[in-house]
Amino acid sequence: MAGRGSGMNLEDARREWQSQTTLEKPRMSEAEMLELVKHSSSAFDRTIARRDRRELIAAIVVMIPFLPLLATGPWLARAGVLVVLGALALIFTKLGAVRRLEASERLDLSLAELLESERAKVNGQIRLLESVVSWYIIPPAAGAMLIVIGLEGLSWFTAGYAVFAVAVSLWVYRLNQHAVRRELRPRRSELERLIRELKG
Amino acid sequence: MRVMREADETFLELVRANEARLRKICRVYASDADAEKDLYQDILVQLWRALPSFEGSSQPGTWLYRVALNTALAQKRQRAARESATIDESNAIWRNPIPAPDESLESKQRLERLYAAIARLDDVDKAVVMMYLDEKSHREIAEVLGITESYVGVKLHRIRKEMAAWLAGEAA
Repeated sequence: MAGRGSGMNLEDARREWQSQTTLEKPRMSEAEMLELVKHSSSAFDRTIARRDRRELIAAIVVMIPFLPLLATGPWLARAGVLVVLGALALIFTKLGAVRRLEASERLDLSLAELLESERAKVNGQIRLLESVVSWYIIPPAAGAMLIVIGLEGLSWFTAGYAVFAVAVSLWVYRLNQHAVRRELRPRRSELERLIRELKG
Repeated sequence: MRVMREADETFLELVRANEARLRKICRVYASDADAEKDLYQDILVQLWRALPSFEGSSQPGTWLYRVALNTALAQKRQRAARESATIDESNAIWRNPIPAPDESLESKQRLERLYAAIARLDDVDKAVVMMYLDEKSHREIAEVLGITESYVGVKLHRIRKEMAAWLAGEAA
């Protein structure tokens, strides 16, 4: 019961704080705990490595169907294939750079350094997603369009494909801007709040 | 007998020496008991991952606070990315998430009041006051946070005033 007379000054608070001990026995032995920590750490590394592998495989799988066209298709379709392959390489490289930056986080920095580095990363991600049209949407869409024109000429099919490609591009663009609004800007605001709290 | 690697031994010594401190940090920053367990385990994993930089560190106390505090503050932002590496409940390292003080009921209530007062502070001030309560110097606090010693003094002056008022007010 916290009644009158049981007030606490900061020296009392310090004593109380330092008197806390962990009386309860841990549930597992030190060796088990160490094993668990190592396992969790390598699970994290494996997750990152699996994700990188999945992205590489996905890029290769998407490239494969285009390769026969490169050897046998009309020249416009071949040019389109080259543009698509270049676009996939660009996308893979850009995403890889972002992933590597994310994985390079160092938690032994001072809080101010960590927050500034996190904010720089988030700003980079926002710029990347805001410019998604120039590196993620237009290059592969333009390459695919060249392939269709090369194979089908200027036809109703080509026109229909163009409408479809524009619709998909708009959807992808909106999806990315949604991620900026819902995830990245709130993360940046949170970081800026912490920086303000830190620096006053 | 299994020979323990030097890194393993360093890590275990570090955890042994700082277990209570780490659990206090978890209690201050976690929203509930389950979050406390998650955070504690996350901090252990991050301490392990950062261990190579500990071995070259001239200030072990500062290093530990940096990693623990940065993990606590980053956990919310990075939860999704680390979800797969989070240890499940059946593997929890301790049963009761709250350090049990070897004290009377009154002492427990005083601690509750202290934690309640700390909870009223913003995230950065919580870190400052924890280090103050742990008797860290202005220089050490400044190194953990990356601000100047004089600004630590300014912050502490304000925080101590607020805390003193809250602790006295809540007791009345």
